[in-house]
Amino acid sequence: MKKHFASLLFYLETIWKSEKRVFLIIAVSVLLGTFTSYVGIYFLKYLLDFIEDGSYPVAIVWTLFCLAVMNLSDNISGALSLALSNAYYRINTRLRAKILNISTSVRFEELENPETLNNFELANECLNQSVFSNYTQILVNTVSSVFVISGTIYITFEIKWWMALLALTVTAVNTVCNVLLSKNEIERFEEETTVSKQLEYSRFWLTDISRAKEVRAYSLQRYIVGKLREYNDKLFAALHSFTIKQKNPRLIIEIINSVQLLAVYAFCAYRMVSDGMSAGDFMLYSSAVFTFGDSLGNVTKSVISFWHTSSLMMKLTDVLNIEKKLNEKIPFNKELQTVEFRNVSFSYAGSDKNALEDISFIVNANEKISLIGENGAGKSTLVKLLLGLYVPTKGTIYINGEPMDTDKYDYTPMFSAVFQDYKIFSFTVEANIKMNENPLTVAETAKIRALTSSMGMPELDTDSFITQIFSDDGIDFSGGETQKIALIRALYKNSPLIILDEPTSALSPQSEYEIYHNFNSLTSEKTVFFISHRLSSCRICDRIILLHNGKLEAIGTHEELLGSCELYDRMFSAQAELYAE
Amino acid sequence: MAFLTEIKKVFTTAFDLSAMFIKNCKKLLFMDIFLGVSREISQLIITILPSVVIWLCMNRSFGAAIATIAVMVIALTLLKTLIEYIQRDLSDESLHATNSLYYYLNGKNIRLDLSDAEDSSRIDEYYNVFDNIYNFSDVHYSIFCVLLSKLLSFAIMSALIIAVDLRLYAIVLLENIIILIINAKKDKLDHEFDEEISKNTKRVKYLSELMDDFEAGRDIRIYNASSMVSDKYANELQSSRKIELKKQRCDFLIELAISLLGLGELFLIYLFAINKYASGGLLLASFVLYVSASKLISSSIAEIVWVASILHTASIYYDDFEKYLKIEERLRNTGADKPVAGEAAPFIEFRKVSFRYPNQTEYAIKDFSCKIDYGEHIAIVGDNGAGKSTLVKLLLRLYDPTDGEIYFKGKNIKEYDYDSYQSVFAPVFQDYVLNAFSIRENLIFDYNEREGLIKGALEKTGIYNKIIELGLDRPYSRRFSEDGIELSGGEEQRLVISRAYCKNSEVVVLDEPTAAIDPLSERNLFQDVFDGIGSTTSIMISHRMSCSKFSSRIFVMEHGKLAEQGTHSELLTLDRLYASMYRRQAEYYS
Repeated sequence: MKKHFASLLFYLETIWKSEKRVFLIIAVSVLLGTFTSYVGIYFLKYLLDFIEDGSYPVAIVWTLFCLAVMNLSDNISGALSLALSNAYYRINTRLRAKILNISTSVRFEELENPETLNNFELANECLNQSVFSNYTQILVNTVSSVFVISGTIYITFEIKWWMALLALTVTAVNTVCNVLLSKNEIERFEEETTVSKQLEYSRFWLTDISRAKEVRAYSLQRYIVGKLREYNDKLFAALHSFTIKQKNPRLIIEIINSVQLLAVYAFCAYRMVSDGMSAGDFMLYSSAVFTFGDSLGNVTKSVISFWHTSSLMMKLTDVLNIEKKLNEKIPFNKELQTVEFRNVSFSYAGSDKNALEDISFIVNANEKISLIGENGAGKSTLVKLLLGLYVPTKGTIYINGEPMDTDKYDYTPMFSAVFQDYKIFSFTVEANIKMNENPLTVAETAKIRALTSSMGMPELDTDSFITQIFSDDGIDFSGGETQKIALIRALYKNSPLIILDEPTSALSPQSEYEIYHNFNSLTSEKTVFFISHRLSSCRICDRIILLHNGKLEAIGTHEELLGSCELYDRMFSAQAELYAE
Repeated sequence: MAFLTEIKKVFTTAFDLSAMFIKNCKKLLFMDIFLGVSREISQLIITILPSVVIWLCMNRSFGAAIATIAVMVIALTLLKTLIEYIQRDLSDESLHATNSLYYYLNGKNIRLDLSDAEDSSRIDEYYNVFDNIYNFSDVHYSIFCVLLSKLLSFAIMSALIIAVDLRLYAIVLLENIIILIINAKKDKLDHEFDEEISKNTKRVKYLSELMDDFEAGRDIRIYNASSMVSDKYANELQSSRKIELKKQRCDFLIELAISLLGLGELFLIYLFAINKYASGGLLLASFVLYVSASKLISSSIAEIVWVASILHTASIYYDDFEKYLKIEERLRNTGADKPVAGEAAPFIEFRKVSFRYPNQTEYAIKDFSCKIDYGEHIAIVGDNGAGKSTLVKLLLRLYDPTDGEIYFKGKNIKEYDYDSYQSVFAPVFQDYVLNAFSIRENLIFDYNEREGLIKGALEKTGIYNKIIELGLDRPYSRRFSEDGIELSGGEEQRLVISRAYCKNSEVVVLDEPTAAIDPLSERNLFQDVFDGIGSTTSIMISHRMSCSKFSSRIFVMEHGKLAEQGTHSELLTLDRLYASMYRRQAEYYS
C-alpha cells in the first residue's frame, strides 16, 4: 500500500521536476471533462423543453452552443493529449537512456540473473505501456468523476433517494466483478508475456541473419515454421483459458446493469404517467442516473487501474534506485604493484560444484602470465573474478596488498580485455577503439595510427561505420579484422592490466606471428593474463598458470613446467608434435 | 482514373485478405458477422427505448410502457451477454490468425537466396513488412463485423433521414465523401512517414538490445562506455520523435478538419429536425427518437468511411507484404535432380570459378579451379580475406558463382534440387549459433529420424557423457527457463560439430571448428575428422597449420586464388607460402 503511494509520489515528483506544464494540462482536462458531462446531461432536457414551449430560435441557439462546446472540448482534448505525449516522450527518453545506462553498468553478475534481466525488461515494458499517461488518465478520470458524482447525486436524490442507493448497489456489484476481471487480466498478461517471448524469439532470432547460413544448409524451413506454429498455438491455448474464466463476471455485470436500466425507465415512466413529468425531465433524470452510475464505476475502475499501474511503476523505481548505489563507487586509479589470489573458491549461483577451488598465487606488475587449461578448467571464471565481475565465494583477491572491495571501488580503470566473444559495436571504428565520442586529439590520432599499423592494418579508415545500422555506407569487416580492432581497443585503453582471452583465434598464422613477435613491445609496462589453447602463447609469456578441474595444477615458467608437470607435458607435446617436421 | 485504380486495389486487397482468412478459419467469419449484427441491434434498442417509452407514457398507457421496457431490456441483456462472450473469443482467435501471417513472412525470409537475405535494403524491407502486418491483419473484422453491420444500420438510418428531408441526406453523404478523400490523402502521408521511421527503428532496436546483451555488457563495463551507449540511445529516440511529431501534428490538423465537418453535419441534422417539428411534421416522441438517432446516423457513416480508410491503409501495406512474398528465389528455382548417393568420379569440381559479393568491386574468388575426389580430406589454409569461407559458401550453393561452374558428381550443382543438394553437406560455420530449445533439437531439429545418430555423434566429439548427465531434453541457455543449460565455448563448439555428424551427410565442411577447444581434445577431433569417422569426405578451414598434417591434400589460398596445393610434405618441400606459414607457428613450439 505504502509502496503504491510511493510510486504515485514518484510520478508527481518526476513531472514536477521536469514537466510542470503537465499539471496545467491535467487541470484543464478535468474542467473540460466535468463541463462536457453536464452539458451532455442538460442538452436534451432543455432542447425538449424549449421546443415543447415553441421557442424554436432559443432551441437552435442552445443546440449550436451545446454541440460546439462538445466539439471544441474534443478538439482541445486532442491538442492537450498531443502536448502531453510530447512531455511524456521527453521523460520516457530520459528514463529509457537511464535504464540502458544502469543495465550496462550494474555489476556484471546481475546480467546472469534472470530476475534482474526480467526487472530491466519490466521497467522498459512499463515505459512502453506508458505508465505516465496512465497515471494522468487515472487522475483526470477520478477527479472529474468526483465532480460529476457530486452534481448528479443531487439530481438523482431529487427523483427518489433509493435511486442513488440502486446506483450504488449496481456499482458495488460491478466493482467486485471488475476486481475479479482485472486480477484475471493481470494473470493473463503475465502468462502472455512468457509465451509471447518465446514466439517473438522464434520470429526474430530463428530467422535472423546470423542464422541464415545454417537455416539454408540444414534445410530448416519446415522446422522454423513448425516452431512458430507451436508457440502460436500455445499462446492461443493459454489466453483462451483465461478468457473462459472471464465469462461469468461479465454475465453478472450485464444482468445487474439491465436491472438498473429497467428500474430507471420504469420509475420515470410511472412519474410521467402519474405526475405528468415532462419528456425533457424524463431524459434529464434517466441520463443523470446513468451518468451517476458511470462516474461511480469510473472511480472504482481508476482505483483498480491505479493498483495495476503503480505495481508496474514500482518495477521502474526499483531499477532507477540501483543508480544511486552505482554513483557511490570510487574509481580505483592507483598504480598496479601486485595481484594476489589467496585461497579463492567460487561456485556459480545455483550450482553446488566449485568452478574454482582454493586458488592462490601472486602476480607482480608487468608480468606476462599465460593462463591455460582444458575446457571447463576454470580459466574464464578466474578472469571474471579478477575483473570484479563476480565476487569469490571464499577467499580474497588482493590488489597491491589490499583486499578487493567491489562494493566500494570501481576497478574498471585497472583493466582492459579482449574476450573470446568480444563485441564490436555498429558505431564508427574510432568509437569502437576509444569507446567514447569525444573528438580526437593529435596525440590520440597518432596512438591509434601506431596501433593499427602494428596490427598490420595501416589503411584502416577510423571514421567509417561498422555494419549498415547507423550508416548506409557502413563496412562489414571480417572476423579477423574485427578481432584486430578489439585488440587495438584493448591496447589503446591506458590500463595497467590487460586480459587476452584467445585474442588471435580468428587471425591468420601470419598476423598471429606478427602479434606474438611484437607482444613484448605492445604490452610493455602492462601486466598481462593471456589465455589460449595454442600453447605457443606460453613461450611469449613469463610464467604459466595451469588450471585443472578448477584447481591450480602448476605455476612456473615453460622450462620449469616442462618435465615436472605431467599434464603440461602432454598438452604441449600434443601440439608440438604436429609441428615437428 | 488513378482514383479508380486505387479503389480497385482496395477491393482486391479486401477480397484477397478475406479469402485468406476464410480459408484458414471459417469460424472467424461467423463470429465477425454475428458480433456485428448483435451490436447493431442492441444499439438500436438503446436508441429507440426512451422515445418509445415517452410516446407510450404520453398516451397514458403505463402497462404497455412497462411491458415494452421489460421485453426490450431482457432482449438487450441477452444480446449484450452474447456480445461479451463472442467478443473475447473473437479477439483470441483473431490474434491466433494474425500470428499465422508470420508463418508466410518468416517462411519466405528463410527461403530467400542468401544474397537477398544478407542485403541490407532487403532486410529493411523485411522489417518494414514485419512491423506493419498489424495494419492488415484485422481486415476480416473491419469487413465482416464493422462494415456489414454498419451498412445495415446505415440503411435503417437512411430511411429515417429521408423521411425527414431528402436534402439533408444529400448533404450528409457529400460531407462524408469529403472525409473519405481526406483520409485517403492522410494514409499516403503516413506511409511516407513510416519509411522515414523504419531506419530509425532499426537503430533504436539495436541499442535497446544492448541492455541484456551479455558480450556487449562485458565490454561496455570494461571500457566504461555505458554513457556513450545511453547518449546515443537518447539521441536516436529524440530524432525518431521529431519524425513522429511531424506526423502527429499533421494528423491532428486533419482530425480537426474532419471534426469540424462533423459538427456542421450534426448541427444541420438538429436544425432540420427542429424545423420539421416547428412545422408540425414530427411528434415530440419522434423528435426524441430522431435526435437520439442523430448520433447513430453520423456514426454509422463515419464508421463506413473509417473502414474504407482502414481498407485503404491495409491495401498499401498488404502490397508490400505481397511484394516481399513474391521476391524470386533464384537459387531454388533451378534444377530438380536428386543427387545419387555413393562414390563418383569426379566428385567435386570447380571450373574457373570467380565470385564477387553483390555491390563489391573486387573479386573474392578469382579463376579458381580444383578437383576433390571422393573420400579425400582437404584442408584449406590461407590469410584472412583470402577467400576460404567464400569458397565454402559457393560449394554449399549459398551463392552462385559470378563466372564459372561447380560440378558435383559430374553435374552442374545448379541442376540439383536445392534442398536435396544441401543434404549432401554437413557444415559447421565459424559463427555458429545454438538455439534456446532442447539440446536434442539443437542436434537434430525436427528430423526425428536422426535420433539414432545422436549417441555416436556426441561420442565422436567426446561430450556424450556430459550431455547425457545434463539431459538431452533440457533447454540450451537460461533464456526462457531456470532449468536451462549453459555450456562453455569449447563445449558449444563440440555440440555444433556433433550436429553436423547427426546430419549423416557425405561431406563434412568445417570452418575454423576448433578455436575454443583445448589442445588434447583438438587433436582427437582432427584425427577423427580426417580418419573419416564422421563422413567419407571432409573439407576443413583452419588457421592451425597442425590440422593440415592430418589431411590428404592441402589447398593454400591467396587473394582469392589457389596458390599452392599438395600434401603437407610436398608443400614443405616446395618451400613457399605454406612452408613459411607453417614454420612461423612451429617456431614457438620448438
